[in-house]
Amino acid sequence: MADTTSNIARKRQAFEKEALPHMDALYRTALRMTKNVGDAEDLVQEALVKAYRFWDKFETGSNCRAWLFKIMTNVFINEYRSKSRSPMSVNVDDIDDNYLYGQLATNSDGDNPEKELFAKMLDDDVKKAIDELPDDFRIVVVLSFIEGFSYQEIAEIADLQLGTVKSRLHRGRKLLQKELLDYAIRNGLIKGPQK
Amino acid sequence: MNCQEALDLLYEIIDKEASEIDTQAVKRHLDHCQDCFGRYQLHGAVQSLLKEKLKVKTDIPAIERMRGNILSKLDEIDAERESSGPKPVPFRMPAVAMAAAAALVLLLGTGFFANGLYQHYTEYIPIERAHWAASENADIFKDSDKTARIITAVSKDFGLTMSPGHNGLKLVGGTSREIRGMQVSQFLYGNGEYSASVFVIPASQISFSDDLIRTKVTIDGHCFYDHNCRGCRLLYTVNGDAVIITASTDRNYELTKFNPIIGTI
Repeated sequence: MADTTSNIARKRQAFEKEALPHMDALYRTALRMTKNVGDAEDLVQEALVKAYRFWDKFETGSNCRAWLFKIMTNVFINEYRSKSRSPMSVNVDDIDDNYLYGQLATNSDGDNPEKELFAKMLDDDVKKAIDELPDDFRIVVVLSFIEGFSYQEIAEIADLQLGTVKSRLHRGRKLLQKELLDYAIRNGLIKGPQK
Repeated sequence: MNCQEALDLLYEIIDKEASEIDTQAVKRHLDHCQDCFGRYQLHGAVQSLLKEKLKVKTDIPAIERMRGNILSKLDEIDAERESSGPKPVPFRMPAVAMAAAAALVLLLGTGFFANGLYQHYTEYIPIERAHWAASENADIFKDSDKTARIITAVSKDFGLTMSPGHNGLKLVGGTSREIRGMQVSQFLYGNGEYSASVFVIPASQISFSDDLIRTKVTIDGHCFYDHNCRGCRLLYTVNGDAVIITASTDRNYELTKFNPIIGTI
């Protein structure tokens, strides 16, 4: 079906006004998804161009931000995620829920062990720890932690069951905590476990 | 509620996803359970510190770069959509400072009118598309033998000498192609940041519409026909038997200063 020029211009204007302002948020999440600047820029561009092609399908008044993240997550899963999905080296279920608590409580002298630990940890260390997570976990962790999407929104964005979102987020957290603590111990930020 | 039940809800509470009933029950439990309270406090603090550490400053150059690329892709899509219409599409003039530059319509030569397919059809997209394709597949221009042959042909046929570089752009290479029935020599110039194409077309193969002739503009004392269709800017000049079109999709590149053909203009 042919579009008239004024129709095209109107769509374009609406898209530039509603969708493009989310580029910054898309980019910060893309950085954590792809783990590198070049791929992140490509991913964001591809997602937004795709969104423009499907702009007719976007319902005015619905959540544009979530819709854009859904498109980007989809592109990432289909085209960017590592081809060889390495089996997880850690069995998440072996990590005790209280690992972090136990470690911090026994290996710290202060009242606020978590604050001490994070004060010493660089932003990049935390980002690196996120990057270490397997793709499936990393996607939900990033959407939750960085973007603050609700479980239900994440389920729609990543096309997952609500229960799967909860369990991946939970397991992702456990892995992340373990990675951060191991990192902290390795780098002498806190004392190692005393056996 | 016992400790296990309270701890099972820990992340849902932290993420503010627990129901009101559960939230109240956990609160009551934490009021009298020091151990659980400590765990909640710790995990809550870890969560907010993590979020703090994950904040990133807006990378303005990256955003600007992406924005530029996205906008030209959108222009491309708009152009496709316009061209898929059944009727001739009037140009929408961009808000550029090129005062007198009204819409330019480059009509096809008589050969094409004869078959009736493209009569009255505004013919600008193929040239733009040829430049887009070139800037994205610069490799096909890197054949130095072919480039040398095209340079010689252009020199022999039209007396034009291609410069190895001009206004910050270097010659990537040249190729010869047919665009909608016209025999076109195309040269790609670039510097990694910007790219521009130069098309040399025998004047006998194309005719300018009255509209185009009316929209002649003078920039820095040189005469051009300036066509700026959102995504791609085209400058036409007539030189003897050749029509020379320079094209760039880079909004920030000053195409009017790009005159890579020695001895013209």
